[in-house]
Amino acid sequence: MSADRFLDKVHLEPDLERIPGRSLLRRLFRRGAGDVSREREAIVIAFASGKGGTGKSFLATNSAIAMHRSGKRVAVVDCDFGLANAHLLFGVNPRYSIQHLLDGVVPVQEVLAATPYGPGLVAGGSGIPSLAELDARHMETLAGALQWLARCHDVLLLDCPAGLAPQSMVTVLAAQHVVIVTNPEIAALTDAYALIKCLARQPVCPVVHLVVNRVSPAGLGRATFDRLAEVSRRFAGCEIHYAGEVPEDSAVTHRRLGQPPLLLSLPECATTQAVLSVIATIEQRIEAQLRSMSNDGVEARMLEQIRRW
Amino acid sequence: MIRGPVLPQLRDSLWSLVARRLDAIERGLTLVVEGLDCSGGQLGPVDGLARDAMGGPVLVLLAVDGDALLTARVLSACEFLTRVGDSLVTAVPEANFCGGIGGRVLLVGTDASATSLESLRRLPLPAFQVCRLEPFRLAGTERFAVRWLSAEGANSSPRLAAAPTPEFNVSKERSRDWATLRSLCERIDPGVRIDGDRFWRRITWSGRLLGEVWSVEGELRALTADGVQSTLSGAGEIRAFVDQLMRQYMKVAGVASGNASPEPASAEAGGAAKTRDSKHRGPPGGRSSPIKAGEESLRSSLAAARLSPEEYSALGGSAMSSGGGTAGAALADDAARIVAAQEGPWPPLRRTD
Repeated sequence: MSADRFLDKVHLEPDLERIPGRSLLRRLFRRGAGDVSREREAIVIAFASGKGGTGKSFLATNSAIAMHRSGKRVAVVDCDFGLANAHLLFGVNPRYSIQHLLDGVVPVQEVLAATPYGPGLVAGGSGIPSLAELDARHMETLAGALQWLARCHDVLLLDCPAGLAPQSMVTVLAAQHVVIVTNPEIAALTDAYALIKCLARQPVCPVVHLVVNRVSPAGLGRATFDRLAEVSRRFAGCEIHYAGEVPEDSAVTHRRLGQPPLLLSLPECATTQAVLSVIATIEQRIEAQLRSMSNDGVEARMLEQIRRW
Repeated sequence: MIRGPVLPQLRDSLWSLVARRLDAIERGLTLVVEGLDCSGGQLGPVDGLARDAMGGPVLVLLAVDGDALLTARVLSACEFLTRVGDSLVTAVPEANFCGGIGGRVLLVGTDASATSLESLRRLPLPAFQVCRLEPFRLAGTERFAVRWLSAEGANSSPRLAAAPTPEFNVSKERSRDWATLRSLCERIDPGVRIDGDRFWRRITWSGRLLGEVWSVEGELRALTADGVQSTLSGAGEIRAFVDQLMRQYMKVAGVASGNASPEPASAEAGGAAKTRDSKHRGPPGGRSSPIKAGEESLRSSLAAARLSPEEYSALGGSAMSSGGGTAGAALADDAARIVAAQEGPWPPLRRTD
C-alpha cells in the first residue's frame, strides 16, 4: 500500500490546531522531558464507581474521543468482564473481546480494535458469567496486555466494572488516576465512598477524582462532592479531587444504538461542554502531579495487587 | 440465528480448552507438561502428561476427527506407560508424582470423533479410559458434560500395577532404628509414602518431598527437605529427624500458619487441606508470591470497606443510624438549598384574613 493510499484510510482531524488546550496536552504528554525519564508509558486512568449505571462508560468513551481529538493516542479497555457496553457506545462490534484475550485465544494486538472516532478499543467480555471465574492467571494475562497497550499509547482509559470484587479492584489499582463517577443519590454516594475507603487502605493509593453525573439542579454536584470529600477526609483519611458535574440530560439517556457519541453529535450542548470541562480539569491535575507520581508501570502495579489478592 | 453449542474441532483449539479444564473432566487432574513424545517421533506426541488427585501419572490424548494415527498413538502410550510408568516419579520430578501409584491413559474426544472413541473403547488395554465431552448451553453460556465411555468410568481409575519397591538394605544394627522411623512416619499422616531403591528411600506426602534416608556403610543417613543432613544413630536423632519431617509436612499440607498452598494428593486429603488453609488462601490460580508480614491483603481491605453507621449518617443516609428519616434526606436538602439560591428568596406570605 502506498503512503497516500494509507493516509486516505487514517482518521484525521481537520481542525486539530484550533482545539483549545492542545499545546497544554502536548506538554503534558511529551516524553523524555524534565524529570520524566522512565520508559515511555501511557498515563493510565481508571473510570470506576461502586454502583453500576452511574455513567462510567459514557464518560470513558467521550473522554477518549476528546483526548484523541486533542492529538493523543488513546485506547479504551473495557474491563467489564461480564456486561460490557463500551463497544456499543463506540458503535462497533469487534471480532475479539477481552474474553478471548484472557482465554489466550488471541494476543492483545488482535483484540485491540479501531473505532470510527479514533480511539482504540479492547472490548469487554460478555461470556464470563462470574468474576469468580477469573483467577490470578487471567489477571496476569491482562496485566501483560495493559503493559503492551501502555507502551503504544499516550493515554489508557480503563472502564472498570462496578462493585468491589478483587478482580475489579486489581484493574482500578492498575491506574495512577481513578475517576470515580457517581450520582447525587444516596445509593451511588455510599457505594462511591466504599470504593474510596477501600482505595485509601491500599499501600499506594491512586489520585482520586470525583465526577458527579446526572446532576439536577446545577450545583448539586459540588454539594455532593463537598459532602463526600468531608466524609472521606474524616473517616478514611483520603483526599479526593473535584473534577466537575455533568447535568442530567435526556439526550444521553434516550440515545439509540448506532448514534455517534454525544461529543460529536451535539458538540455545543451543555452535557458535552460539561464533559469537556471535566476532562480539562482532570488533565490539569494530572499535569500538576505528573512529576511527583511514581510510574512503576501498569503491569508492575497490577502484579503487586495480584500478589496481595 | 440461534447457534447450537459446539466444541472446537481443531486439535489445537480443543486442546487449549481441555488443558484449561482438566479438573472439570476429573477432579484433581492437573496438567504437568504438554507434548510427551513416547513413540520416538513416529506417531506424534501425546497431548499432555497430567497428574491425578492420587498423584499418579495420566497420559492425556485427544481424539479428533480424521486422526488416522489415533489408535497407534493410544497403543504406543499404553505400552510406554507399562514400560516406564514407574520411573516417571524420578524422571519427571517437577510433576511431584507419588511413587507406587500406577499410571493410566485417558482419551478425550467429542461428538466428531464418536466412531473412533467407540472402537477404541473396546480395545482390551490395561489402565485405559475413554471419555466424551458433550456440549450444551446453559443461560447463554456454553458448557460441556463429561460422559465416560469406559465401563469403569472415572471413579474406579484403572491403573497399571506399580512395580514393588525393592527391600531397603539396612544393617542389622540399624534395622530397629529403621523400623522405628517407619512407624513414626506412618503416624504423621496415612498418606506419607516411603519408596526408593535398595540403598535409598525418599519420604513423601502427596508427591512432595519430606526427607530422604540413605544406607551407607552400615549407617543410616538422613536429609531433610531443607537440606539438613544427619546420621540416625539413636532414638534422639530419629525423633529429631521425624520432627523435621513433621514440620515439612505441615508446610506442604498448609497446616502451618505460614503461606503454603497445598496441592492435595487424594480427594480426602485435598478437602481437608483446603479447609485448613481457607483463611490464608492466595489468589485463585495461586502463582503469586505470599503476602508480606504486616501487609493487608486485597480481600481484607475490601471487607473493611463496609460502612459504619456513622459514615452512613455523615453521607446523608439517616435510615441506618436514627431510623426516623428517609435515606438521602441530606441530599434532598442540598438540592432544595441550591434551587432556593437560584430562584431567590420566597416572597413573604400574604395574610388572607
